[in-house]
Amino acid sequence: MSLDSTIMTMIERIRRDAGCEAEVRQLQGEVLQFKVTNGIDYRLAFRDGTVELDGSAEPTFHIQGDPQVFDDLFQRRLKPLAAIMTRRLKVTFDPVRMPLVRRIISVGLALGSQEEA
Amino acid sequence: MGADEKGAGPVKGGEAVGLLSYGAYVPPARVAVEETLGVWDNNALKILKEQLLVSERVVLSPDEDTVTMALAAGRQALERWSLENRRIGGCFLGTCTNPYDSRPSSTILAEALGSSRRMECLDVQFSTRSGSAALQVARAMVLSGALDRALAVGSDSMNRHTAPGTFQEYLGSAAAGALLIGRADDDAIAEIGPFYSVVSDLSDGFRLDGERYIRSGGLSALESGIGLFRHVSRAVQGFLKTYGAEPGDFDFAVFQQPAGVVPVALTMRLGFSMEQTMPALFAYELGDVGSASTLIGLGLVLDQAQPGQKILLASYGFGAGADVTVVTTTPRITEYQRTSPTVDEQIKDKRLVDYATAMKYEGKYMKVSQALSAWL
Repeated sequence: MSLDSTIMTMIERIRRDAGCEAEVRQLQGEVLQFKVTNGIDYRLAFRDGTVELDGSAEPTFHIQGDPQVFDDLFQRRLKPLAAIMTRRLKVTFDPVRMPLVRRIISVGLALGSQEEA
Repeated sequence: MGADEKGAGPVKGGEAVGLLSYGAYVPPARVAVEETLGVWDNNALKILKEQLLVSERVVLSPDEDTVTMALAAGRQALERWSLENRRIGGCFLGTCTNPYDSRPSSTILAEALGSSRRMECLDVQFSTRSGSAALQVARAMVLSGALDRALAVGSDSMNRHTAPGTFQEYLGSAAAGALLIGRADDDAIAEIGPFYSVVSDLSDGFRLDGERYIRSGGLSALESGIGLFRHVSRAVQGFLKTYGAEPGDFDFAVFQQPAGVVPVALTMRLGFSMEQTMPALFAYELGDVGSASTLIGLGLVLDQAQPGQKILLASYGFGAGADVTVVTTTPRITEYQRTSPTVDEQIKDKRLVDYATAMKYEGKYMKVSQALSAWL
């Protein structure tokens, strides 16, 4: 599965999951950027109670890594927490809002409650 | 500890010394927490990997100990600077896991490095703050003019001194870091200093005479914040206040890492950001490397730092308080970084062993006739 389709799948999961509606609302105005070191980047904008891809939105959260790391993340071979703790993923975020982003990513990656991001 | 802190305050003089070179050694053998958990069933995997933030720890091979690791790190530091070994005036080894009780190891290190017989050697035992304490000694000797250059090493084999079946067994690890200190105008890749230290009498970890295993004050000391969190917080806040700095003034922050969760918690508590801390994180992969902790973290950062960047360094030792200093890179850092292997490469160069092998390597399965001196 390409990164493009993986991102779209993530967005669909977040939109469909009623369990994270509150988090999506609380992230109103935030823009989560997945920045791949090969130059590709995806920006997920949280607005109007939903999330959408918007390449022109100004990012407020950054998640940066090489293509292999993102592939491992999206294929669930690597957890985001482990990627951060092993320096493979660089993140910039507001620590207060990080739990919201963590929950959103867990839903997007379809991680169960026992394996949250 | 009183409001004014016992013994608090910067080291006399705020001058900086030069960091000429650095080296590290991380043993390749590792054991996963799942292996230990599979034997003892005394914790929860989710707690270990997602709350304590540790997944593996180092296992010492039979031919490795605190001194061999210190030698490997020291040799890398000297080779990177292409320094003739006999031109080092001092060799200071910081460790709380010296293989010998009553003879020094810094002399073994100095001789193995091929140093001149005319030099200053010293073993520094200041629990897991021994590495930064050795650095303070080297700094003071260079600042005073007594020495032109000195090697400060932090090396510990915590894993040989953590008892099987205990909570500490998941964390106890081993590694070494070495810093070659000289005058700031001596082709330095960075400047180090000033320091700010706080101490208090606290038994959150200790090993009595004749005992092999470190006794811990327990997780409660970590949770209640009376040990590491209190001391590091006071040292960092004292440093910032004394030198008129703020967390945002630093490009990186390197904290003592007995477990992965500690630097993350300190980052939040002290007003730093994860961007400043993340490049130095290693405890998730290595565990508690004791006196080498901040030196390994510093090495990870220096391997990628740009000229003019400031790195806050905060060390802690059980019963030894905390110290804080700042490392500021010079334009020479970029040229220096062409040497390898990097600390990251050493961390990633690993081979997993099972629990039984770890126990055998660490002398916890012992033959009756096995010597108890150097664990070799």
